[in-house]
Amino acid sequence: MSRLRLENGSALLLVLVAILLITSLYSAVVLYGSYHRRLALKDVMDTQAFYLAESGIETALSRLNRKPDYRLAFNMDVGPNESFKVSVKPYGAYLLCESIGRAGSCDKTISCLIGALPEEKFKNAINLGGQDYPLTLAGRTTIIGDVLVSPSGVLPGRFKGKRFGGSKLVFGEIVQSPSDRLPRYDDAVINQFLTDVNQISFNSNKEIDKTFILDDAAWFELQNDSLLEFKANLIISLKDKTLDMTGRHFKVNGNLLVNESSRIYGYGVIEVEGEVQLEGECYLKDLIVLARRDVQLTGDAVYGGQLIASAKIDIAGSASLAGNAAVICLGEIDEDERCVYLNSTELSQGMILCDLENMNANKPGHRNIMKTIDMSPKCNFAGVVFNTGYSQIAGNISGNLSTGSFYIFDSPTVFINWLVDATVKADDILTTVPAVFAGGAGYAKVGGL
Amino acid sequence: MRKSADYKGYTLLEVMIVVAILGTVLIPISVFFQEYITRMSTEDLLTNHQLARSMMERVLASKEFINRETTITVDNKSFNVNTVCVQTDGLLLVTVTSTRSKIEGKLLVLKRYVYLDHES
Repeated sequence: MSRLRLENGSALLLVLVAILLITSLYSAVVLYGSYHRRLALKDVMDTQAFYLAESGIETALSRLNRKPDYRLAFNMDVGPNESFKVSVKPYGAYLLCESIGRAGSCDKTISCLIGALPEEKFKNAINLGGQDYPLTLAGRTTIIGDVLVSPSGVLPGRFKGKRFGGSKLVFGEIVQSPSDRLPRYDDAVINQFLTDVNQISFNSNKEIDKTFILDDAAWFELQNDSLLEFKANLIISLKDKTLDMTGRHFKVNGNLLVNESSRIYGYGVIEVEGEVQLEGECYLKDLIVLARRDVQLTGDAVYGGQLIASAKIDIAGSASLAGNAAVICLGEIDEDERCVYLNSTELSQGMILCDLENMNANKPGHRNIMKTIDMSPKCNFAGVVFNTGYSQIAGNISGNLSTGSFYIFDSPTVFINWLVDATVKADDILTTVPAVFAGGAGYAKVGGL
Repeated sequence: MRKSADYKGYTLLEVMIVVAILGTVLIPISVFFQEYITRMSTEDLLTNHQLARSMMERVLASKEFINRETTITVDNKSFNVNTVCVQTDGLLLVTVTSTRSKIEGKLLVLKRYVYLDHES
């Protein structure tokens, strides 16, 4: 009896242990089976997510070919819990396309480079650096935004000298471009200006065979003549008076001098075989000047028309290009080794085109083509520059700059891509000019566009 | 009244012993059956996945974007693999479905958009 008492409850304990063991076994087997099934399901989801990510790339290609928009971003739902998300952004001469496919709880990301060359969709692009030399940032150089440079790369703070010491600020990311070459800009940009000139018609003709001073009185006499040909020089001295050149065409075989606070406006044309000099406080607006030789703006001259020069253009002193001024330089380089010189120039929305291939680099004395465009430290430029040659940049640039390479101040024999004491900022600049690119250079993309 | 007083019923211990015996016998059977079902289902899922994926790759590689229905036998089981191509918004949507024939199985679906002109 006492033995039985000792064994009281042991059967219950044994049964409980048996039930526990059986339940554990059951749970283990069930969990094992469902784990494998979950793995298989995840595998299926992974595959679908990958296909969706690929679908995103294909969809981006389709959209880009239909309507080039090189900053593309979109989402697309394919089914319940199935979607893809795509973003496209410029990357060198390519487009970086990132696609995230999502199926259930699985994500797959695919990144690829799409080989689209920039045409006219890249606004506010800045070319930094050339083929063979890295871009060097020095002085108070400030670049705002992400920058892509040419394959030669970037050398920040290489020089520590007196002139080049100091801080270098790059607010953004510098990424080396995979591009090795970009297409040249089209001549259509230049031809557009020439077409504009040809569309102006003239209905009378008068020749003047000696140096002519076009003052207020003379203008009164000649105002009904649309086409005037000046065999010698033409001096326009209106003394604060205004000359309306709308629909008029002047041909000047000699030189043209505009001074004495002359104000000229209207869509007319002055063709000049000699040199052009604008000085004093003269102001030209909308006028098209076709110059066969040098053009010089000095004093407080302000030019706001279209200036097409076959020789160098020198904008010095307090003279400035203003508003929508456009300068196209097709000329040869001079002994100063520069085509367009901008000194103290304030150009808000203008444009400068400089095509090195139209310049005779082999002409005696003209071999050292250094500064196709030369901007002094006082220059403040917010327009558009296309230059197939070399640019010496020292002022503030907040517009578009496409250039073959940069040029250092005090070492004219060494080609290094330098950006010295410059501020490059491309935000909030609008241009209607096709942003095509000069040859031989990588290009820089400024972020936040 | 007397009878019901004599009838004491089963003790808790007796009931638990019965449950334990039944569990020992029935649960392994149930587990085996459950595992079998799950394994078959998972195997079908994996086979469907492989078939659908290989069909999708074949269609993308050959660029023969036509609707087709194929029956494929794997381990004495037959599977239906269907390809449906629909043009939508300048793109082609290729949908490959795979399911076990003659069995009310779950349909596996893979979708992929294709841009046809990107090589031109």
